[in-house]
Amino acid sequence: MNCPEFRDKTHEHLRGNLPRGEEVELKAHAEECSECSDFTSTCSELTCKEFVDFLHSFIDGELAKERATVFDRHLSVCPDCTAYLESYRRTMELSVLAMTDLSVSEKIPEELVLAVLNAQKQGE
Amino acid sequence: MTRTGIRYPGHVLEERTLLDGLREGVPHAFEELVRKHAGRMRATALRLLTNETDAEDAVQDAFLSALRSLGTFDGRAKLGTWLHRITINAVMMRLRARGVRNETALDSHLPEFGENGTFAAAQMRWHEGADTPALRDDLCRRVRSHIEELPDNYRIPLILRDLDELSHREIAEALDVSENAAKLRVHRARQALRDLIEPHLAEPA
Repeated sequence: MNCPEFRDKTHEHLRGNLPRGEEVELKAHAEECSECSDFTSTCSELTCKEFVDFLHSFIDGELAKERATVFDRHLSVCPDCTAYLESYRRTMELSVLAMTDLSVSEKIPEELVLAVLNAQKQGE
Repeated sequence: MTRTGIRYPGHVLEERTLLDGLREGVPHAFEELVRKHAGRMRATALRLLTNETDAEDAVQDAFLSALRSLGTFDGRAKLGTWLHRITINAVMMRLRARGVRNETALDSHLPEFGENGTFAAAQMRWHEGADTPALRDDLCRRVRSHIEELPDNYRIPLILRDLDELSHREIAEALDVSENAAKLRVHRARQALRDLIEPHLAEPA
């Protein structure tokens, strides 16, 4: 097993999709390769669920520095969370774009201006 | 240069003249204020209330409320920012009066995780999806319609945070919920919207 295969299979293993016998191969590779052994440790220090649950705090810069570093490390080994973060950010951009488009195209209806001016006069 | 010798940028001076006019009851000053700000205020109200009549009523309430509280406006914020906040307050009063119409959970649009906390399914990368103005408009229309699909208890916090740029604390106060609940609703609303948009933008496997 080479290192890229190890990483792919580790993700499958964490998702619970790895056939039983292959766990032994994973373990054997990790014992020989220190980089992949570190990769396994990083994968297990934060789960994807924890990452996603606190994603908004991560984006807003509200996490403590050490915690944010753990999040950054998780991103460096997790393609799923990287894709999720990108699409979450894109969603935020798109919602602003979509709703701002609406306000730019809005003209002021003359009836609204007159209604406000009338209401003001009645209140005087 | 003003009497105090302080130099103000043009738009500030213009606002000060308008404000002075409003405070002194100069004819047409109020009309100028309405014509200048009603469009943006209407858009703010409309995206939250989603009904033109309600939105215009809220704008009317907001202008009258602004007139009543002119004395409390110290001019440190821009007039437009101050009116925006007053509009949000007027909208929230209307939303509270009509009650939350559509309070539903969003569980079916949240990601699923396995027992060990990893994603149950591989996450797809999104493509750009809007290379031409026509495609961009189409995508914006779809996103807008997905935002409208969200239940009120998530749609409103999402708009207040991402469009109106209120803090979580301000949203909590406006909705009468805890700050944590406000944060969570914004987060879940974005997640649900992400899930609704995904079929338009996810790369085919």
